[in-house]
Order: sequence, then C-alpha cells, then structure tokens
Amino acid sequence: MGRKPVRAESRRGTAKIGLAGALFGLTQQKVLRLLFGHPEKSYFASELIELAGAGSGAVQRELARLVESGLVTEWTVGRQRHFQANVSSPIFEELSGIILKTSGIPELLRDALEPLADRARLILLYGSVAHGRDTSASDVDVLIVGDDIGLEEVYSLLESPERRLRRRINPTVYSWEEFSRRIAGRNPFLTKVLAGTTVPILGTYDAAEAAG
Amino acid sequence: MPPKQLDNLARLGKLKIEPGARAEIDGLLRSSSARLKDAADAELSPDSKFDLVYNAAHAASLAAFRWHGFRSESRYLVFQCLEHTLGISSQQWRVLDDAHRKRNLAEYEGDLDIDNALLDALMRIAIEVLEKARALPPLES
Repeated sequence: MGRKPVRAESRRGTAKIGLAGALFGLTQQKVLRLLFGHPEKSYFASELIELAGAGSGAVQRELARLVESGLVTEWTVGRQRHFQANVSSPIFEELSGIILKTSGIPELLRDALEPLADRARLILLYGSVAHGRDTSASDVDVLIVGDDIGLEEVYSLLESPERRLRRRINPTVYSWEEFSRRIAGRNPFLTKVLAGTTVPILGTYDAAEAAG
Repeated sequence: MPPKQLDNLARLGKLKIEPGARAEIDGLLRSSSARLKDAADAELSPDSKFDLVYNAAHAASLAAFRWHGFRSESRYLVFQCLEHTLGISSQQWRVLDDAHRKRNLAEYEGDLDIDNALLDALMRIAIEVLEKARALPPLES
C-alpha cells in the first residue's frame, strides 16, 4: 500500500507552484515577508506599499485582514499609522518560520552574506527558489560575483541560513573577470541562469556593464 | 583514536577495518605531494589543475584514513570522514563535497566548468590536508 506522490516534479525539486505560492497570495507574501521578516521593526503603510512594490489598495486590504486577525498590531503616532508583527499572537513562531522558509529566503541570504558586501558586485538567487517553483527538497542556488571571496568563507556564512532553512545552499563564486569572460563566451550555465528568473540579493545584473 | 564516529560507521558496514602499513601511507603522501607540485604549473588548464588537486586531496585524505586503520572504496566517504581523521572544518568539507560533485557531473556530462574560487579553495584545503596527514606519527611497520 505504498503511497506515490501524484506529481513527479515535486520529488525532483521543482514544481509549478512553489511553497510560498501554495500558501499565500502574491501581495500577502510580500507584506508578510516584510512584517514577519523583521518582527522587531514597525512600518508605515506607505513604507510597506513602497517596499512591497504592490498596489496601495491590495496592501491596505492585506493589512486590514492581518490587523483584524491579531497577527499584526496597529497603532498611531501623531498622524502616522504603524504596523508591526504581533509577537504575542499564538501562531507568531510558526508563521515566522513558514515565511522565513518560503518567501523569506532572499532576506535571510542578504543578512547572512552582508560581510561580502564590500567585495561582491552581484549576488543573485536563481533556480527553482527564484522561479517560485521550489519544493521542500529543492536546493537554494546562489551566484556570487566579486573579487577576493574565498569559498570557505562563503560556506561558513551560509552555515546558519542552511540550518534555519533545513535546505542545502549551493553557491557559485566568480571573480568579475571570470564572470565577464563567461558572459562573452556564452557559457551555457551562466546564459541559462541569467535568461531565467533571478532574485537580486545584492546589486543588479547589468548586461552592458558585464560586457565591459 | 580511532575516532568513535568511524568505529560506528565500521560497525554499520560503511567502511572496512584494515590496519594501514607505513609504506602504503608514505606512497599516498608522496603521490599527493607530487600532484600538488604538478598543479602549480601555470601552463596547465584549470580542468587539469582541478583533476590534479582533487586527486592530491584524495590521496592525502586516504593516507590519514589508512593511518587510522580504515579502508573504503568510496572517495566521498574518505572525504566525509576528514572531520574525524584530521579535524578538517565543516566549511572545508563543503568545498571538497562541491569538488566531488563537479567531478562526478563532469564524468557524465563531459563538461567541467571550473571556476577559480573552487580551484583556489581546493588547493588551500589539499595543502592543509597533506600537511596534517604528514604530521601523523609514523606507524610501526
């Protein structure tokens, strides 16, 4: 009576709908990621709209629902309304964990790789997580471009996010010169990565700049 | 010594117990050192360097593995046990793991796309593994 998974894709680590998409709507993900990604911080509604890059009405509706349910607290200082994740909500821990492991991956990587900021010119998330087609079995693929970055250092910075996500993170590190040369030579791996969906962690990919 | 974790793996049948011999270990260390020297040749392609350094790291790792009295045909396992045989850090192990995967992938897909970050890290680690393996006291026979 062995149970077989219905979707073969889910075993290989890619699926049509990712973990985050299966649970939350797009605007909801963005708002939750901000609020629960930084529970120590409060945001103005205008800030959340700008940072989420979503429509004002959609964000306002999400906020109203979150406040109504008690997942988010709202208060006013002067004429400004503040919103903050409610740490005393009964499901705060669980929800934070789910958000971190699904749509919070870029935030987590940005924080973890911060020590590379002075040397890295570009850090991109690619692969199934960036495409929003990840399953719990998917690795997290990261491209790091910069000079004087040792692989041992990268692995040591990724130790904590790997533990928190319970997923393997695969970094590929190129010097700027190697990166440009591979782009010029139409390297199959890099061409595929840059043609697909990527999520910027640090810097943005500029084809003209890379071509020198 | 031998490390407890390795004994447990032996009990599970993952690795074999077989006392190492001095001549065998010396041979592995010499082979590792020769490959590292060859890899320093600037004329070599990154792919050839990678092969040499990878095999140098493996030979030195195997020397330490044999020194502790274990044998295994699995290169992966020999690398995996470095934490216990020579006290290699988890970050260094990840680099070896990365190199091992790239090498396996290349055998099937024929394309070895080696970047300097991996090659440089692998070189640093192979040198350290060799130094640590050489520092093990010589066996009686």
